[in-house]
Amino acid sequence: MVPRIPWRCLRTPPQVITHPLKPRPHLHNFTTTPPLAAKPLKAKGPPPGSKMNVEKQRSQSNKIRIKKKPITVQKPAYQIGQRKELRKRIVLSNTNAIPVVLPTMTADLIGNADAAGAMFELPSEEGGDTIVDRLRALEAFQTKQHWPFFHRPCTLFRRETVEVGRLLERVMKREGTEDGRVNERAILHGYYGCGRSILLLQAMTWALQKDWVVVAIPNAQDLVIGHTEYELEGNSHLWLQRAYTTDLLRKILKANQKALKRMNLSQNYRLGRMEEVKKGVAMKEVLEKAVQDPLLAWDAFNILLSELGQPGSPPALFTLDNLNQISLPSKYRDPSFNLIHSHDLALPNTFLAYLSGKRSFHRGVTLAATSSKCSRTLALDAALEGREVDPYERLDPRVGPSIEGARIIHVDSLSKAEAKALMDYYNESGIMKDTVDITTFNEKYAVSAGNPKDLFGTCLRMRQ
Amino acid sequence: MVNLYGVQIAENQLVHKALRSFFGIGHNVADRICAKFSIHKTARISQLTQPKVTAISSEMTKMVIDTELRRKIADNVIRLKDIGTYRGRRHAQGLPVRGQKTKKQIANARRFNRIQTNI
Repeated sequence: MVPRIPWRCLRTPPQVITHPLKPRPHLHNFTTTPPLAAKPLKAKGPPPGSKMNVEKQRSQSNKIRIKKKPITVQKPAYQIGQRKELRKRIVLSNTNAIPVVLPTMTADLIGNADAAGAMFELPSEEGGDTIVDRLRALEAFQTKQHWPFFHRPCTLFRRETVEVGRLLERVMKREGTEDGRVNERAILHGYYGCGRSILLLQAMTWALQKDWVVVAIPNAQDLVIGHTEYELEGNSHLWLQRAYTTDLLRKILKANQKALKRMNLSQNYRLGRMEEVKKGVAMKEVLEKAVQDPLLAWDAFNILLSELGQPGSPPALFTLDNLNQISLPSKYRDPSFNLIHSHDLALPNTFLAYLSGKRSFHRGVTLAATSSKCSRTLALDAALEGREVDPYERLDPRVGPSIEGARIIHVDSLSKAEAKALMDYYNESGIMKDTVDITTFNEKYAVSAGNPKDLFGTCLRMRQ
Repeated sequence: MVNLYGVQIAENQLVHKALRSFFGIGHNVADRICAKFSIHKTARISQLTQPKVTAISSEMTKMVIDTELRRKIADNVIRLKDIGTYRGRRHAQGLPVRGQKTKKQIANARRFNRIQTNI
């Protein structure tokens, strides 16, 4: 049956839905005038009261107006190396940050367990080369360590700092063999952002204050990525990196002026092919000569190391950051196009000789820090864990023996007391928005799991 | 400017890139030449010693590159043409050599397949 009312009629007529509070859209009123009969629209002109000449106005409006280009001063092109300098620039102070009064990290604190869990500022002296300048010369500070947020560089004294301090203490007190040779070797190992590089920095701070000779390789990656010159040395079958060694000597010279001036050679040495340095010459002079000529750099570096092995020499601190990088094949190639193993490069080889105890200082500490920004190094991981390697695993057999006998210091997350000290320091420096109370502290400590890097992130971020 | 294999090369040019500018030397061969003379990745022409530049040039003379390589390729095509093969004929006609269809898209064949190449 056909319905009497068709469905279409039930539809409500289309309506403009209007909001009661909003103004109604403007609608034309109904008109019966056909569009052609309607009055033409008035030309737009000046309002009836104005005295402006219509013709004049027209002539003005027809003018072609050319938009003037704003005068822009083009930036000069970057010089060679300028961008790298900007990228690597290290800012250690911020005048906008609130200064915090803290005790200085002096050499008396070496190995002092009572000081653990407090903040200390790095020593600053009036005039001359300060410790901070010398640390900067050694590239102990790194970008992304959040130095620019604070008024002065300060560090946290941790349990691990005590452990590192004990190494230095043992060398100073000569708790070693009977002939007075003391060598401490250690690797700082832990999760990402746990503060291994900062521990190296703290060790260097103390060593510089005690006038040790500090030799620091700030980033082992620079040695293996194939960006510096390399060359085979015939006798040792090792690959020398003369340009890098010259750079390293320059850093050593700048940071250890005082100690090197006092060091005199105990015997004659050959320097390069022709030259010879006589007994009694100051070490500083040898290095100054070598810095001028890359061909002498490797010999001079060896002279320095062998002099540090002689009795009567000052104690030495030899550090290397990012140990993982030299546990992998390097990016260099030998003439038959095989990859060169990092251990065949002279500088890493020398460092590992000291780390594994094949070579030794008269009194010295060798410190290495692992890195978490590196591709996986299974052989090193196995060696650090100290587990036996399954022969089917096919790990690099050279890595294990290279760190044999070195003490492994596990750098853990912060304890609650340490985290509290750090957070109070952040608060006093004015970088925290929240007030520090027990709730905030517990929240941020839980979110960061006590990791110093994450703790800084959580403190800096606004609370959601 | 440094003379490498008879070509003047700007001093600030990377060695690897300078080598690749020759016809017949790509990334792989350039890597091998660099490895043979212990030249690192970021080395520039100005950092090379004169004996090293001479050694690289003499190494390159042993290789079939540049004009020599172009001539070799052209000779191969002419040989095909001379013995009357289908491939040689297609080269001469400027048509695809390896059985492609010729209704459309033979621009590259028109461009490259010819008997006389500009060496």
